[in-house]
Amino acid sequence: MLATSLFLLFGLVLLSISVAASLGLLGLILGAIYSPMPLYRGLADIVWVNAIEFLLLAIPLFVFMGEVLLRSGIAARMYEALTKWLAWLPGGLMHTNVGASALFAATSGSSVATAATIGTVALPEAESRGYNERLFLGSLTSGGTLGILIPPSINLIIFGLLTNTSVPDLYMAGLVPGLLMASIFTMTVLVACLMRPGWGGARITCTWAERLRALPELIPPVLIFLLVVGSIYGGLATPTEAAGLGVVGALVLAGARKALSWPMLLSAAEATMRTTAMVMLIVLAAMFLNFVLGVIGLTQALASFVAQLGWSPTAMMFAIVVFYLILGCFLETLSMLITTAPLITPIVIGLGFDPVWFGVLMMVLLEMALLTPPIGINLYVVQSVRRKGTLTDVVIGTLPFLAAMMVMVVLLIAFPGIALWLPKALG
Amino acid sequence: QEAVNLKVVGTWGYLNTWNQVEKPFWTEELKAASNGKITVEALPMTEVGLKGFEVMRMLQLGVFDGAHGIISYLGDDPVAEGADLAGVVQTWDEAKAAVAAYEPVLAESFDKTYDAKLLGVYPFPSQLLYCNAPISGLADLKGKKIRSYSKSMSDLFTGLGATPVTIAFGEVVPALQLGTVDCAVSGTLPSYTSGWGEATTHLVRLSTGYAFSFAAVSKVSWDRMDEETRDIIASNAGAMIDRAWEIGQKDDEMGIACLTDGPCEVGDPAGLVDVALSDADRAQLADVLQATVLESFGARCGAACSATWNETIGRAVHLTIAE
Amino acid sequence: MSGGRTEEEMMNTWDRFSSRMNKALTVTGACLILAIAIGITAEILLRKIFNETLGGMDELASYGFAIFTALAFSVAALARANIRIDVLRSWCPRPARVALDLLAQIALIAFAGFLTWRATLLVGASWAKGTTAITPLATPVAWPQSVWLAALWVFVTILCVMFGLSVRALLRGDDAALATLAAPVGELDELAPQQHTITEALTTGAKEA
Ligand code: NA
Ligand code: NA
Repeated sequence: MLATSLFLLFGLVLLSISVAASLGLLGLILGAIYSPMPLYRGLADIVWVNAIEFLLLAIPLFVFMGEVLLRSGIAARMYEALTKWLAWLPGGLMHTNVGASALFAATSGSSVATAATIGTVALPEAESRGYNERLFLGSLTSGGTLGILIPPSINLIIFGLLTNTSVPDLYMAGLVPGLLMASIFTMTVLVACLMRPGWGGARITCTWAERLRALPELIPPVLIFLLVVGSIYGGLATPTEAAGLGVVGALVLAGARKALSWPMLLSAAEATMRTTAMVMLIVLAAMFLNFVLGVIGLTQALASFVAQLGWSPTAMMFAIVVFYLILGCFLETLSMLITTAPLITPIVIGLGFDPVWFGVLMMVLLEMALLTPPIGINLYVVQSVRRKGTLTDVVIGTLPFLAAMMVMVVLLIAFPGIALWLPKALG
Repeated sequence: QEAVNLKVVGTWGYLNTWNQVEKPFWTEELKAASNGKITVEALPMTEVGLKGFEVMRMLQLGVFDGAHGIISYLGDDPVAEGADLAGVVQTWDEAKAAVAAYEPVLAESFDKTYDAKLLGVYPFPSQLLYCNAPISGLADLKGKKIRSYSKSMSDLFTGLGATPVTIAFGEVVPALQLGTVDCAVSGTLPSYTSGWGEATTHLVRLSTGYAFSFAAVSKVSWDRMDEETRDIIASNAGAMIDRAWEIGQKDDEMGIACLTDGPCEVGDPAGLVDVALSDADRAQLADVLQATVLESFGARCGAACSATWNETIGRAVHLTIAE
Repeated sequence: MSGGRTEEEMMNTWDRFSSRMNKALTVTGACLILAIAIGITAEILLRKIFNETLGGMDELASYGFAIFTALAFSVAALARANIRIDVLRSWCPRPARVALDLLAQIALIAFAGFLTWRATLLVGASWAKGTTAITPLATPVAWPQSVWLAALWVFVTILCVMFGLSVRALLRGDDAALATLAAPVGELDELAPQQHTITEALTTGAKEA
């Protein structure tokens, strides 16, 4: 049953059938083969119940907020300001890429949006500065993945929804690892450029006066972060409501910069609808597939198989990491999260691990999945923004950062406190 | 007797009611009672990714032969809502009397509205009020923000002078911790095990209900079974329902003990302040129920339905929906 | 040749229709998402400042979300923006690519059509039974469901029309039309049209400020 399911899934996906249709059809086919009951009849009920799930409403709200910030020029000016602060380091704008990704991640719930936004702003700047192009691209693909680790995060919300874990706890747990990961990326760039000074391109320097003058440009993203994350901890709003508050905040900021107009809102809404449709169609199809996998007993079969292995918690965690690394090469991240989290998390909790910690580890593994070919969405996003050269450049440039993320995985497993310290300190 | 294989969906896989009542009934007891003729694949809704609202529709669509679910999750019929109006049932004796009186009414509604054969009605541990604010009686609820998820609950809280707030279930515990809401409702033992004791400070013994649940078989499946199979299921269901009541009450008492000062068999006592209702509180509750919850339910369900309610649950708990 | 001209006219008609459709969907979507964000913000402020509640704002927002999503499906369909993995496809010779593109269209129509058919039955049942939400608002769910269903039907219709036009373009050997109807915009060029506006927005934003 497992072999058939995987074979069908990979078959449908490789035939270049859209991911959502593949998941949905797989659910219908598996239901027809393995269940005597007409499972297909439940499709619309499951889809409707999830289509009105309030927690998922955060998806369009976060995407819309990011689109408004991008279109009001706030992202571009933030990038410029960070350049003044970070680009003196060996590696120049690559540090700005990482820093800007981390800061934009604090206002965006999605990794794809973060990579697309910072990529759009950064790539024109890279021309004619003599960077190692591959490493430059790698700093964009990997920096973009921070979008789901640094709060707010759509994927953390979905993880919380699927595993009944507190989203505010997950947010707080993601913050320190997110910043640590950004530092590790920065170190990666630094080490590479110290070893091969030619890779670092032209050094960009500026005066302290210029730096101080640029500081106000960093205020808008910080304000949005405080509004979205602060309103949750101030007892003002729930995580989904906070996303709505963030949209209004972004609109006010755009208005303050005189960038707010009906055409601008329409183009932001259009981009939001495109992204929401892609994401939600996958989410809804994956929810139905989950139902079918549960009813035909595949879920339990896997769980009991894992349980009877009887490995030590560390060995199990190692196996889970390898499992996600391999799966991450071939699966789109959101469908991977939705189909595996409800299955793996109870096993992990049973082994004595903390669900909040596991949520953060899961985010790092999903981030790696965004970067591993053949199916690594962030690779495609950056290549699409770049519109020249081959995908191979992007893949090779990303490899050092993948190694850095492996370090992060090991650190998280060895020192769970990296994730758990902040939520404990605040709670 | 023919061999039958049934597919059944149960309630929450991590609660005792599933593990000690629903699951053994379908997978072991029926098998034993039928000498292996009745085999059942039973799964809790949590393992198949259902939220509970879809369960009855799934039964009607023939996706499952049998189902367990919360009666107040059914939205097609005010008769079902009447079984579990917020605040009406305050004690286990009242709960038993109310269900005994109302079960025939529900059975008829299941037959007519949901094409299902009702096997029985059973409770979960009582749904009490957890607050993250100092409360000494119902009067202190005035001005508090309380999470509500049903019409009658909102009526009750409004009647008590509180503000009913609707937020998603997944957001409740953090919202309590962070003060986004002051109070919320949940079942006693389940909320102890999922950490409500750490998120709140006061346990107010205002019962908003017992999450009355149904065990049912779809009529299509029921009609397909032979006489003997039906007899075996029906006659064994009684014992299953009785056990569900015992476990519900036992878990309720254990949950309250664990949430307050113990003794607690399943962990450390959470040490919540135990806020019992005074006689004045009870009198106020009766007035509020009359003026808000029952009045508004009566308008929703109509004269005939109100009359039936008055003769059944109403008589059992000494409340009447006014004409 | 006259055949070519009609084909061209037809594509023009489709282009006009699809851009008007896109505009209508986008305007509705923009209003919905703004209403949701403002509604939620109002609820938060009312609750915090006046200890009041709009009562069921989250429920209304949820229905708005479902409808927004269903409308968005059509926007994505018109832009061919659903995620397709074209690792294998990019290695294939052209005829095989066309076959895969049509297969992808059929598969999406199959899933979306199936969903919409089941949804039609669901909404029919909600009307027949007068199902109400078990929430404080006790909304008759058939109302929001019907709007949601209508959006799903629009989605399926658009997919079918695009498939029909693709087959027609294939039979006439119109490669350009076929590409704009069926080839994946995938991740590779998905952002390309968008990127133009983004760069524009960025430069205007920077100029204005
Ligand atoms: Na983020
Ligand atoms: Na990957």
